[in-house]
Amino acid sequence: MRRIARSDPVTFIELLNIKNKNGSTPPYVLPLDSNDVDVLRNSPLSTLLTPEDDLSEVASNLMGPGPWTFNRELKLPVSCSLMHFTNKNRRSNIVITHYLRWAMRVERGDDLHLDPKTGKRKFYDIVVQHPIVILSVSCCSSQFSAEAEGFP
Amino acid sequence: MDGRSSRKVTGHREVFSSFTHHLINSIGTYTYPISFEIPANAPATLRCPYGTVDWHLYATVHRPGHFTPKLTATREVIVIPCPKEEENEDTGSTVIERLWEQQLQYSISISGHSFFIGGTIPITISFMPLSKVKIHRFSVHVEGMSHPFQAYILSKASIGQSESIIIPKCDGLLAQTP
Repeated sequence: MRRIARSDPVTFIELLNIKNKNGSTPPYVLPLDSNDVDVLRNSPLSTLLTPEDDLSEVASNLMGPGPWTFNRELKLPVSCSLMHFTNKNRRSNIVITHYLRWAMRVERGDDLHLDPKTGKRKFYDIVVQHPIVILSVSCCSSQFSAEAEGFP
Repeated sequence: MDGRSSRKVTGHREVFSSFTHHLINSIGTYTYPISFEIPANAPATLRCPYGTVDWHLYATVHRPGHFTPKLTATREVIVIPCPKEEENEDTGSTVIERLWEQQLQYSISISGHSFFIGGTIPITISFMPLSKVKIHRFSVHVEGMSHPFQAYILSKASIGQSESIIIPKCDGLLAQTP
């Protein structure tokens, strides 16, 4: 019977983080709430835009009632020293699992739940975790051929 | 070929030595096609802060004579975990749709289940506010957890034990250059 000897600290690799700077007005990122024409350009949401996007069209959409949709290809770190591949082979005595963790902080739109001390609306953190499999960089076909060439 | 985790395992040598005894009988260069079958459940090369799995290829040539030393060579090899074909072809997307407190409906769509280090994760995030809800921040992380297992307890009796996991297979003499 095998048992876990120890659990290493959980490693977090940030792929995307959209938030306003401290003290900025307004403090929330969505919906867009400003009369400035460059509100989207100065918003952290600008990192989600592609060069093909029309800024004024996207800004008007994000100021409206929704839905607000973002497509993004999140880049994983290149170096194997930053993250390991997923390993579920127990013969190696080290099991490595990965989750895609998506989190957001929201504020209710009504005054049902207020903070009794400050009288302000409470914040809620919503977290969704989804298991994913991280493959070794050597599995990639181009990388694999390069590795194979190194072996006579 | 050895795979080392918390225990030591060594390769099998008998087939190789008996084969060469009959073939090397004159001067020349001999080439033998030797292939190793790595078990499908063999662990891949792995280097973690609290444990490593390394593979080494050991070759030993036995020569006749009581005082003739053996010829040995060692080389480290990298065992790569390759996904199954069905895992590679599995490009289906995962859609997570939730409703939060009749305030916000959100959905997250992730294309694919397995991703290469250095690759990209295509993701689509959609918010549908049902009231005047405000979003202060959102983020995406990859969370990695490693659990070293305490599988074997080293004792004085178990240190010298070895286990044969791979038998070299020689397909015959490939080339001889006298």
